[in-house]
Amino acid sequence: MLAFILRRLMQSTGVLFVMSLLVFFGVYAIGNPVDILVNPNADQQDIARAIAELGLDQPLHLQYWHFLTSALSGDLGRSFSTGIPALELIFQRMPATLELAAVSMAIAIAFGIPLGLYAGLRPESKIAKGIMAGSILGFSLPTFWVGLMLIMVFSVWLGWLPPTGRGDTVELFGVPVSFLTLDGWSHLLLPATNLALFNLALLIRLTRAGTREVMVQDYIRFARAKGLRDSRIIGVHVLKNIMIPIVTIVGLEFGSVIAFAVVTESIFAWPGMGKLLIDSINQLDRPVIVAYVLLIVLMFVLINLVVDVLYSMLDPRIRLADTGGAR
Amino acid sequence: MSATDAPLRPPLLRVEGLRTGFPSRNGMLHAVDGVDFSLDRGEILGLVGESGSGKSVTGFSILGLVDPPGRILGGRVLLDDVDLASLDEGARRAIRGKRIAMIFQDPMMTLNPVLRIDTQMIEAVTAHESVGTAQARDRARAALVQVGIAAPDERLLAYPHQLSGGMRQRVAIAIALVNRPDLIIADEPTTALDVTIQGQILFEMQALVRESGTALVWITHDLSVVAGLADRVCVMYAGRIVEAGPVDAVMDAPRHPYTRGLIDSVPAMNPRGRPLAQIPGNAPSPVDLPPGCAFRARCTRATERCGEMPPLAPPADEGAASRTVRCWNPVQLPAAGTR
Repeated sequence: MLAFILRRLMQSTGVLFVMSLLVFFGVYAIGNPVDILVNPNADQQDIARAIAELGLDQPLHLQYWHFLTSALSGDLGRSFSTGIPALELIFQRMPATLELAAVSMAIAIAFGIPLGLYAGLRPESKIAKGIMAGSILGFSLPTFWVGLMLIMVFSVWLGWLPPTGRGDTVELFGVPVSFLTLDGWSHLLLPATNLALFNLALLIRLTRAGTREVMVQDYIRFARAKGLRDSRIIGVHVLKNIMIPIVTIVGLEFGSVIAFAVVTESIFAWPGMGKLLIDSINQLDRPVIVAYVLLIVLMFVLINLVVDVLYSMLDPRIRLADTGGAR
Repeated sequence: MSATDAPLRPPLLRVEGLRTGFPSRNGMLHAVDGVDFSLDRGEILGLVGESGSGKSVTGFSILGLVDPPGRILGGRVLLDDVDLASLDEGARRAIRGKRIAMIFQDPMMTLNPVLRIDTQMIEAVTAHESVGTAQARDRARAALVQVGIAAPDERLLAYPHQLSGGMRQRVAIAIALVNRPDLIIADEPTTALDVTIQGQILFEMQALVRESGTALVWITHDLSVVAGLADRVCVMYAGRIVEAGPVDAVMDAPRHPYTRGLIDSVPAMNPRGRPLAQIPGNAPSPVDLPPGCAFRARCTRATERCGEMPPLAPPADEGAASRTVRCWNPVQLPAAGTR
């Protein structure tokens, strides 16, 4: 298992290298950041100085070489627009996004799996059909529209929940978090629900499909023939068998919720990384964009690693490579 | 044995007029259509038929495990004179695995792939008795020893995929035995196994039920298995029993043309060099069974009277009431010179 993890991490450095190459040259191709950064009234001399300061006067491959060597020592460059180190900018915003993503995934799991189980066990019931119809809405309604509707109903009409911001935060291990205060929760609830809807629908359908597939297996019938209670059959025999696809999707979706919460963060003015990414792209702030993408890639690699390890725990038939064969 | 016990106590299991159907687009599909038989304690009954004859559905109906939308349409299943249909689901659950256990056909599919053997055995015990895990584990281990599994402690910690097919079927049998049931329903448990393993398991099964006094319903399409194992045999065709009786009598001198055909179809019984005997035609679709005897269309002895359903009754020319046959024109007894 350790060998497996190490090899995976080594492979991921290759992925990181290729990604950095793509993004670095990709952003260069989009446009010249100096055009945006420098005052339009600046004269030729000022512009030349700005270009030199940012290191943009050098040939592109030298710029990349410079980026790569300092990246290896942990320095991903400074933001063109603010002069603050890119990583520092990202880490300032990261806790808010992580918190939003975690709460939204928790909502999706807490509702999606039970609802999906119910729909899978009683596929013909009216409630199950209602759940499935609802999940289609969850898939197909655009996130931004649902977000606006949530604000309209719960903030504007009912006035129950605040529409924007993070609310009161408390320091937890030196990181500001909202979920420990009531005010923080009231701010979290709407954006987290908004972000959760798609995954909620996904988990409902996935759980239902898995449940229906497992319920007709002989081992479920055999479990019945043993005289087991329904609670045990569903809670152990069914659930453990449908967990593998669920863990996969939860892992992947957790990654994408963190990386692409942009829309929800913009609507609810949630001060997370998504907002930072949009701003950076608008300003062609290459160091921040590159650092962000590399961080996200690293995160996906780690999440997938965790998922793979979880597989081997959930299904004894799966053995991670390099551990020697079973049997 | 059954002859002396029968007047004293009721049979362990009585199935009366059992009918089980599956709704389909073309109307109700009668998989089991009026099946009667009874079984004494310690008796081994072979339930024989082709696929689709309703033999497996009969087994599942006894346990109340027919897959919805299929359901039992009529008849009674009495265990020690208690009608199982009159019990609520909780009471039926308490009987399943405790008094009536079942073994399935495919050992690759009956054990849950993601749970260890010990988990699956211990839960079978604790579902019915409030015993501690350690005690349940001891019983599970003893059951594994009983079915001839070497290194039971090691096997308890294994997952199903780490065991061979024969080993898995032994585990399934051990699970069936672990609560010392009165009756085991075995649905073709050796069909999916190698012939050598099949023989071993048959032999052990027979010894185990004899030793513990457990009654056994052995569902199979294989007459040769029944010949060596069962006390009595019921032959099913198209959801009905067409012939029933002591296994020797039925095997040596079948009276129903279908049973005759079934026995002749066993390749080993075929004289060398002659083309293999077969029953002409196919088993009828249970959706639109013709009235009267369902075997009529494939039967060489059919007469006009066969348009009317014959009763399952002792043949007119035979004194022994232990054997019954559902035929107007039963095959002659061997004395009359059948091949």
